[in-house]
Amino acid sequence: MTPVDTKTSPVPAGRARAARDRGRARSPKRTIEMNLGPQHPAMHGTLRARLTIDGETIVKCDPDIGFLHTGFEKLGEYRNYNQVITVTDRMNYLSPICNNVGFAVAVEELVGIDVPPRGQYVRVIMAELTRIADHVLSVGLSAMDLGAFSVMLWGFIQRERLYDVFEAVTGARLTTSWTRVGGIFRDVPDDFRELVIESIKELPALLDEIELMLDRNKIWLDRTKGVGVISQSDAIGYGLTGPLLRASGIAYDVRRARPYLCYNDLDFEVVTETAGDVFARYKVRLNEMRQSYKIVHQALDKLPGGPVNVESNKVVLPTKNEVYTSMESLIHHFKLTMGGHGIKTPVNEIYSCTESPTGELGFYLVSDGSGVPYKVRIRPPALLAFQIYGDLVEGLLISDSVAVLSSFNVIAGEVDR
Amino acid sequence: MAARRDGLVLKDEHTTSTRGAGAAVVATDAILEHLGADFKIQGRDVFHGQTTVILRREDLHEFVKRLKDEHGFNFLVDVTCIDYLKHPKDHPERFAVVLHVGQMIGPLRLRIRAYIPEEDPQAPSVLDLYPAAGWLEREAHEMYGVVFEGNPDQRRLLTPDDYDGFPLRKDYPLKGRGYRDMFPKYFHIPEE
Repeated sequence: MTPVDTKTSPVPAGRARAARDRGRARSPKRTIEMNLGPQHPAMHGTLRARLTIDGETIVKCDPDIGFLHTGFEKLGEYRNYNQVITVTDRMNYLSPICNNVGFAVAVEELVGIDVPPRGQYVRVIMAELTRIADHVLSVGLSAMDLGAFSVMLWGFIQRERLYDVFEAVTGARLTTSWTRVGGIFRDVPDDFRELVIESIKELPALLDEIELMLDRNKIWLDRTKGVGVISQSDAIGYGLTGPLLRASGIAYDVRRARPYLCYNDLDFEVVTETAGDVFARYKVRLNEMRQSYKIVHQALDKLPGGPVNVESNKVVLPTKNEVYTSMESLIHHFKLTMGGHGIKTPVNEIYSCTESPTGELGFYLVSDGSGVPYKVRIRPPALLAFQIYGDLVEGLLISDSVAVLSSFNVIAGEVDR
Repeated sequence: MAARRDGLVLKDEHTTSTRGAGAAVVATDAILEHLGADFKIQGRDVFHGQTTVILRREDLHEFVKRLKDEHGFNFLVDVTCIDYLKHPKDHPERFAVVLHVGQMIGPLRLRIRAYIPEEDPQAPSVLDLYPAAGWLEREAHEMYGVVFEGNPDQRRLLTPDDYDGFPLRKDYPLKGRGYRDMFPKYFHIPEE
C-alpha cells in the first residue's frame, strides 16, 4: 500500500485530515465576527461588543457604546442648577439618589456652602440605602447570569423594600430628583427612622444566605475564581474606581480619601479583596453592603434635629406659605426661578467627586456666574470600567465574558450619558 | 467664613474647602515650584483648595509625565475640553483641554489646562502614560473636534460613526441640526 501524499492529494485521509482541520481551526481565516448585544439579555442595557471568535474563544473584543447617548452634558448647559439634578438621576438609574447627592455636593462646593448637619445625615442615609439597592441588584444579576436565579429574586425582594422607602421619602421610586442645591426638597417623614430600620431589617440575614448559597457552590466558584483578573497596575492605569478597584486590593474610597458630607464622623471600613477576579468583586460588594448597613444605623442614631436646608433664600426656594404671605420671599422665589437669574455662582470651576456604587462619580463644573452652568462634565465611573472590558476578555470564553461583564455592574445610561 | 447680610454663610474662595486640605495646596505648590524650573507655567489658580495650572500645550505631555514619574500622579481622573466661545472672561484661545490627574494613594489632585487655538485644534495625547485616556480622549475628540495626537483610535465613541459636527461646541444648537440631513446614508431625501 502506497502512503497518501498529503501535499498533492485533494482529500487527505485519516490522521492527515484531522491534522489539517486542527490547523484550520487555529488559522486566522477560521475566526468569525459576532455581535454580543446591543439586544442580548446578558449585555445589561444597550452595551454592544463586537467579538472576533475562534470557536468559543474570544480573539478580539471591540466594545461599542453610545446606543443610549442622550446628550446630558449638552442639556446641562441649558438648564439651571436645580434642573440639572433631574437629569442626573436618569443617568445611573439604579442609584439615582447617589447621583442627585453627587451633583448637589458639586454645586454646593462651587458656591461655597455647607448643608446643615441634619441635611447631611439624611443625605448619607439615603445614599447608603441606594448603595445597598444597587449592590444587591448587581450581585443578584451577576448570579443570575451564571445560573443562580434565586439570588436575583431574593435581591429583588430587598430592593423592593428599599424602593418603598425611596417612594415615601422622595415621592418617586426611580427618578427621584430628591436633592436641591443647599439641601433637599423637603424634610423626611416623621416615621423615617422606623421605615428605614424596617426596610433593612432582613438585610444581614439575606447577605448571609447569599454567601451560604454561593460561596461553596462548585459551579459559582469555577466560573468566578480566577476569571477576569485585573492587576493592580491595570486597575490604576485604566482609572478604575469603586468595587472594581477595591477588589484588586487598593483601598481607595472617596468617602474616606476625600470625605464629603458627614462621612468623617461615621465609622466604617473600606472593604478590599486582593484577587481582582469576578469572585473578589462579588465579595467586595457583599461586604460593602454590610458596611452600608452599619453606616445607616450609625447615622440614624446620630441624626440631629434642625433644618435640612441652608437658611438662605438666595440658594433655597422659600416655602410656599412664605411666598404667599411675604413680599421678600416672593421676590426670592422669582429671582431663583426666572431665566437669567438663579443661584449666584463665582466665575470659576470646580471638580467634585462622590462615591457612587459604581465608583468615583465626578462632576466638573465650569461657571460663568449665571444660574446656568457653563459646562457640566460628568466623570462616569462605568465608562472607565467598560473601557478595560475589551482587553480583559480577550482569550476568555464567550460565557466567561458574560461573567466578567456582570461583575463590572456597567450601567448603560451612565456610560452613554 | 464670612456671614453676609442675607444670612448666607459663604466660604472665602481663597480658604480651602472641607474637601481639599490646606496641606494639599501647600504640597501642590511645592511640586509646582519644583517643576516650574523646567516648564513655563502660564498661570496658576487656587479655588476652594483645588489648584489649576495653565500650560502651553507643547509642555503638556512632558509635564504630566514628570508628574507621574516623580510625584506619583498615577491616576488620570478625567480628560475633557472647554469651548470658551461664550465665556464672560477673556481667554487667549477658544478651546482648552483640561486634564485632572491625581494620586490614587495620596491626597493630591491637580487640574491642568492648556489652550488650543480654533484654527489648529490639536492636543498631545497622554494615552502612553495612562491607558484610561483612550476613551476619554475619543469622547473629547467627537464632542469638541480636538484631535489628540498620539491616540491612534479617533473614532467617534458615543455618537454614530457618520455623525457630522461637534455637539458640545457652543455654536452647536441644543436641538441639533436636523436629524435626517445628518445621515444621508440612511435617509434618502429626493431632490425637488
